[in-house]
Amino acid sequence: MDIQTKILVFKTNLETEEGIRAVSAALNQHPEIIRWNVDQWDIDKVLRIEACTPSSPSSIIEMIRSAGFVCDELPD
Amino acid sequence: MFIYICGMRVRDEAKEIAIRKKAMELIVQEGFDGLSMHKLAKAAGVSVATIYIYYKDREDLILNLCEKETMRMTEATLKDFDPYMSFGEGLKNQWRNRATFWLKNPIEAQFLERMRHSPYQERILFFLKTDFIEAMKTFVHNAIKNKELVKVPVEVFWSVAYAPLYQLVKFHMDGASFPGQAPFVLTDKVMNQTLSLVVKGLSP
Repeated sequence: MDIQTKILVFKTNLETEEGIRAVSAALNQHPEIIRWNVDQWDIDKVLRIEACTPSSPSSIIEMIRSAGFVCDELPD
Repeated sequence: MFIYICGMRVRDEAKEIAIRKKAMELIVQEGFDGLSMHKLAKAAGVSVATIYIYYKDREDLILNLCEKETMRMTEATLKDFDPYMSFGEGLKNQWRNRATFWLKNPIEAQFLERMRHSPYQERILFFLKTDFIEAMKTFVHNAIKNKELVKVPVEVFWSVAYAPLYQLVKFHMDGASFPGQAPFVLTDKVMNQTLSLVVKGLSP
């Protein structure tokens, strides 16, 4: 059986280890998130999420923003 | 922008190849700092998000390239090679294989060269499979045992046995050796001429 997986990418300002720690718990507990990482080298501090469908990007955006960080769809 | 994948099987090979090729080109031309996901996306004709389908992050991309390209290079280098060949025969095979790899894959070869002299050099060493290292060691030890090769420290050996070849390759890729010199092409004749001097120099 194929699990439908989706890759979601967001532009953030998660620049420091503390920032990432601040959102870790919420990301780890999110029911639709399989795994996630932040590309700390990249200028957009891209938050990359492997999620199972259906998943709502907006709930993730909400979550990161309510922790006090920037989170937007990654522009093309 | 969100990308939908069915069980991670839906990959666009052409896009993946373009991403890898352009990533190596950017690193060769501009160094690591030249490799931003945005620049890469533009150069490869894909979106930044597409790159993140295949790679977790920039580091993942670079390590993946190191691993795959090292593997391709060692495979090419070991083609028709037998560590028990005579020293002259074996070195000829190595020169041929290495020159061919460089000339057919200039971007990949220059990329590996960069990696070897970068913070990633440990990883390159890690990715060099044991059979490649063992083949090279056996070749040298066997040649010494058969009194075809003088016993010297590895740096001395390598500088005489291989550095001339890579220099010839560089001259060829530059089109000429020095300002004012005639155009240079690495022909079999030139390679064999240089090789015979090298083998002579390394004889006991």
